[in-house]
Amino acid sequence: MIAQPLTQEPASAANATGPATAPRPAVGRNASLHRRPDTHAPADLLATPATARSAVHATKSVVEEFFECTIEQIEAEQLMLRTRASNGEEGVAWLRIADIDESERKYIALGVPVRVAVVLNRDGKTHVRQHTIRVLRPDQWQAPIVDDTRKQIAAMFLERMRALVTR
Amino acid sequence: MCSPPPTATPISTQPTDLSYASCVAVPHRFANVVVLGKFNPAIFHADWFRKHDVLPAFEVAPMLTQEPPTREVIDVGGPGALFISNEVASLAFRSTRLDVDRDRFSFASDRPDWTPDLGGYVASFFAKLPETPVSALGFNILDHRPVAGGVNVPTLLSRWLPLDALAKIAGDQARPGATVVAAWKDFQLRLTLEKSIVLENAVFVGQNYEVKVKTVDQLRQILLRWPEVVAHADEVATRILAGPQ
Repeated sequence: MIAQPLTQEPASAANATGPATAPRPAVGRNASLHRRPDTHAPADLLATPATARSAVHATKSVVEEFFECTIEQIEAEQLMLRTRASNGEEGVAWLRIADIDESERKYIALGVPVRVAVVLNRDGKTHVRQHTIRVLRPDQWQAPIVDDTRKQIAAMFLERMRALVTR
Repeated sequence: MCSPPPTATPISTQPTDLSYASCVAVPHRFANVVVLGKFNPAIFHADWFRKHDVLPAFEVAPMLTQEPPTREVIDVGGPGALFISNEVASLAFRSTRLDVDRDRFSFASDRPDWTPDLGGYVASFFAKLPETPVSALGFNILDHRPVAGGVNVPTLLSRWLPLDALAKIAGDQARPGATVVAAWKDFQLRLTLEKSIVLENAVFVGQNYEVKVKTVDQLRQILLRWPEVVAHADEVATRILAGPQ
């Protein structure tokens, strides 16, 4: 790892000094991804399977799958989401509003990003699969500003408005 | 053989099984957003996040069950751990972690479902702290990426870093690595490439994107560009794994 050794004199370390915003050695460099003092991760991680683990639940929870979604339609009891899985596969899914935590429901609106994760919690011999659903707040995201995307969105809404008018 | 999950069924009843999960190619990634400036760590207690509703309630809940919630070491460990004083605040939420001292603010996660949104979350925190003096913003994206396609790490690294002669001077069992500092858009990018010592047959790709900021408004605008930076970081790591063209 090329980083400033702790014992190096500052005067001779100008070329090796990392940016001030770089992660601190104890937090997240090559050796320390799963060895932070605040986790209970086992020391021997070389045999770890290549599925993601939580920093906080290092020995207890595994994210099995997650979806980045956008709300496309809101009905009385469910939402229609455009989804993108972690492997990039896109699709459409329905999500019951009752399954969303109450603290998140007030942010439901058309076009808002929703995150769905399938987390496996291991507690001894018990395995519990849990869905966590987050709805981003208005100041936590911005609409895509790429021209092509903007045109696609405008075309989609125009098509829907025409469909309503000609119905 | 893995088959993709059905996507046109309700997510709430979607069948999931470990055989599929074990095939999900989720990289090992640690990401954090660092802001430099002048901070008052004592304000960052769990109730502040509940009051401003900037994180889901289930994310903050483990800490709200602790009594009393401020200015004491309650636990140092898993979810719900917090340490808050006038000098430092450390809060381990369920999926993320906040560390603040007098001149440095860090919000981090290695949950793959959270890292795409870190910038947006930090933007919403600072929307509640508009008068905070800030001086720099850093995005850190640290990946341990398995090397595939019949190539091993020493071969890949020797193609990017032909440093055998230098390694011999250094001593035995040398582990060459490199850091490149470059400009990318408004950022200074510091890219580090090494053999991973966390995963077998994998490389460590560390990327720090740093930019100077003067106001919270400017900071929030740049924070909302986090997805763009993550996309660039993904592209850099992918090109590294493909080897020099």
